[in-house]
Amino acid sequence: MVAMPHRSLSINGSTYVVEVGDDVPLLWVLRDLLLLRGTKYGCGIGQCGVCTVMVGGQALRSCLLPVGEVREAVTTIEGLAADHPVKRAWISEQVPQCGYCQSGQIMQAAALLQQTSKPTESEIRSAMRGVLCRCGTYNRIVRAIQVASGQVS
Amino acid sequence: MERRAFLGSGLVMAVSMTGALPLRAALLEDNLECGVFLELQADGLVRLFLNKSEMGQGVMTGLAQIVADELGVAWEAMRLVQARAEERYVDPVGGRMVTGGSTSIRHMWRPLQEAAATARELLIQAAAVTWGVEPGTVRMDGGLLATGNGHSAPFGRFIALAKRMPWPERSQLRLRSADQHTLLGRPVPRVDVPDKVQGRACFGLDARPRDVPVAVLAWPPAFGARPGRIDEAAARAMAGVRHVVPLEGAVAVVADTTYQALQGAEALGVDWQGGARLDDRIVTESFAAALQQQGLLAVHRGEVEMGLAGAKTIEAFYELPYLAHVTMEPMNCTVLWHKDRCQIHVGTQNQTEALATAARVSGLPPARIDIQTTYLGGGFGRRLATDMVAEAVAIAKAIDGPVQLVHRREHDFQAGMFRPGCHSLLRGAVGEDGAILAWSHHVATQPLAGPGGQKPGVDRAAVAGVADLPYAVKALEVRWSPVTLPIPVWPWRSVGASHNAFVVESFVDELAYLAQADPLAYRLSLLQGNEAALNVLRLAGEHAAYRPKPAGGGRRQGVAYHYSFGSNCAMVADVTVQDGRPKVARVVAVLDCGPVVNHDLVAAQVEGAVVMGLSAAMKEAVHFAEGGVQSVNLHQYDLLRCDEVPPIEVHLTQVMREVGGVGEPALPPVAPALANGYFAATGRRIRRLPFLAALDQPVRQHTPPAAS
Ligand code: FES
Ligand code: FES
Repeated sequence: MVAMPHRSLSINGSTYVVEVGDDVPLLWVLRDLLLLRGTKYGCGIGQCGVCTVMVGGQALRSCLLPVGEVREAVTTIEGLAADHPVKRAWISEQVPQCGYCQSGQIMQAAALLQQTSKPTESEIRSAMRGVLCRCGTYNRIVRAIQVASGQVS
Repeated sequence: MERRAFLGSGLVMAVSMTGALPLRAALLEDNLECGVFLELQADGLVRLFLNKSEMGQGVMTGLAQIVADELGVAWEAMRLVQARAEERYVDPVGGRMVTGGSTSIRHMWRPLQEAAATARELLIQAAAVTWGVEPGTVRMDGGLLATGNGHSAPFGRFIALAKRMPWPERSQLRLRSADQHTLLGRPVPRVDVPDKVQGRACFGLDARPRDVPVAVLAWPPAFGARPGRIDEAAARAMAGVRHVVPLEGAVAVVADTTYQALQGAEALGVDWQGGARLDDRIVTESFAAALQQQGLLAVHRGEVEMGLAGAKTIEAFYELPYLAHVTMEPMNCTVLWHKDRCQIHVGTQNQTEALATAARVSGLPPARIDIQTTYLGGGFGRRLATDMVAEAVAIAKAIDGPVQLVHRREHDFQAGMFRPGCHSLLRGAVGEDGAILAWSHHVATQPLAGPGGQKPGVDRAAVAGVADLPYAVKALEVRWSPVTLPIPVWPWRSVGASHNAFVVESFVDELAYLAQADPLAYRLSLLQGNEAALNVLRLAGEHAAYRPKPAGGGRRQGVAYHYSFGSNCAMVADVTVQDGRPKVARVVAVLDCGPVVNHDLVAAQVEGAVVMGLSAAMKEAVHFAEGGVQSVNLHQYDLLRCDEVPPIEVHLTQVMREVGGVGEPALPPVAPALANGYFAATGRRIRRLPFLAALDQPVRQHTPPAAS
């Protein structure tokens, strides 16, 4: 068997050294090797967005991202500050139902607000279209983003 | 394991989804138990054992509100523990430990209230004895027992004495009146939200200890196919792969990590043998053949044929597809196998069946099986089935060790259990005054056995909302023809109502136009005496600023009403049309589910049901090819996305006295409200779902017509 490369990853402000092949998707490195299980598996093909994390400030689908291509710092739901405005708004607007998609929703929303501090409703909706929610929490998500960006209270 | 979750305001609520038993045993002696669900501790905490699964509906919060309010303790004193699967925790009405049918609050409200009132009564007696006062002078609020004249102490002080007090008769319990409620009816924040926002909530897939291997199944493309030759060596050669386990109709690959198991299952290259003959054409033909049969008579009332001989008649054929649940968390189950006993972590809606399944497959006595319910990443009926438990236990037994079974998404679709497709042929007649002279309704579906098993006679789900048609009709005939197909079918959010409401509410709209009446006014005229139905419809009209206009004349509002799961729901959809395609501009929903524990929980359920209903109505259909499911992942079965969701206004009202269901009743009216709005805007009647596909296809007739 080929020896696995040791690779160093910067995740949530810590450096992790993992022994893993280049092509393993970041999702499974997070969930299975680092036990950072806030990031979820939904489809494995980039269609549902529940696996969304931030890499270098950009929201990416970790199920499609081979760990070998990760060059920048990764932030997962566990690494987003507990009192981040998006998380606070998610609580005040009581967004989650089953909750399974919500890590992905929150990471996508946090990345959006990092790029656009006061997005319009249609900007919010199109930025969020990549993350599915079977429980149908979409309108609360939109409202929570408006709250987090100080556009409504 | 008891985990602590922080509520927004800094309150602390311990939420334990696993490991209730040791804690319980340790504390048992000093605690005051009232029934099996409630335990009061000397330190002022109240432990509530939840026999219902949290799948997003907020049931933990709702049930805790009922107890805290009736008992008279602060919200912060509540500790919630997910009860393990045991006979004593069964739903007192349903007799099983099951979460489904929009029954949790309906079934548990009264029993929990009585348990809490009993505890309060015992404590009051104990305090009265201690202080030498009349029990009638002692009250319990905010966790304190107090008299009007100076006595006051926390309830924990009286636990020991209360345990020796005579148990009050059920008939003598004095439940708090509405004006004494401090939590009931309040939008108390959900206890599960903080964990879900921080990514800490433990779903089934998160319950795997690090060193427990993962099993992924190679699943046949055709229903019922058997594995022939497999390339076991290729799979075993893959990094991390430990076992290849043949199961009935599938092959499991067990590996150290999920990714390795996924890769291993793919490498197996199974040569599948046999299996069903099935594709979309066969499905359509089977339904057509079923509608040619007489079918079983569900209702026959009045002179249907005579009514249909009248002047103004209409015939319509409706077609609805199979649907998948698509819970965002794929099916999974973790078995910690110890040979003579096992612990199972699973997000299930059906603990009773999960336990029975695990016992059957493992050969272990139920007492040696500990089922721990995790959070469910969506249920919608899918997790009433225990196929994932059977698979996981079989694998654990075969490898004689612990394992986590994971359905990859493709497998989740292929091994789905679907909302049955439904074809219906209707004939109706109206008189000069608009009265419905006859309504003849022939529905074809696969029988929906569901968790309860198949019962003889007419399938109840097949004729739900039809056999009990709420509208005044002079003659009614309802027939059901069972369709025989190898497709596994299963309850899907709102079950039979999810197809029949579309048919009934579209057809009543068609009859309104036939009678040259406004669809809303027409419904009101046919529901005389049904105050709850009239109320929701009127309110929906008011809140939506519904404006009657002549048929086909650019009006863009569609109305629908449905009664299901003990609740009344009316909806108005505002529909705009661009290039012939509908866009829903707003949905106004009015729900009467009787008394409400927490308005915000109800509103969230209605919002979610509208989204799921709209998703199904617009987009969703399971397609079949080559013996199995053709749509195996989300690129082939898309769901409604954030930019496709209209504003949804939810209004609650209460005419109903009984507690009604909440999770399901707001789904059925969505599709017909959309179709009726589209007709109002364009004059084109869509009788086939999903909408977007139907628009691109020529109108289909039922061929050959069953009516002679
Ligand atoms: S799991 Fe990554 S997009 Fe679905
Ligand atoms: S909250 Fe359940 S899938 Fe989004």
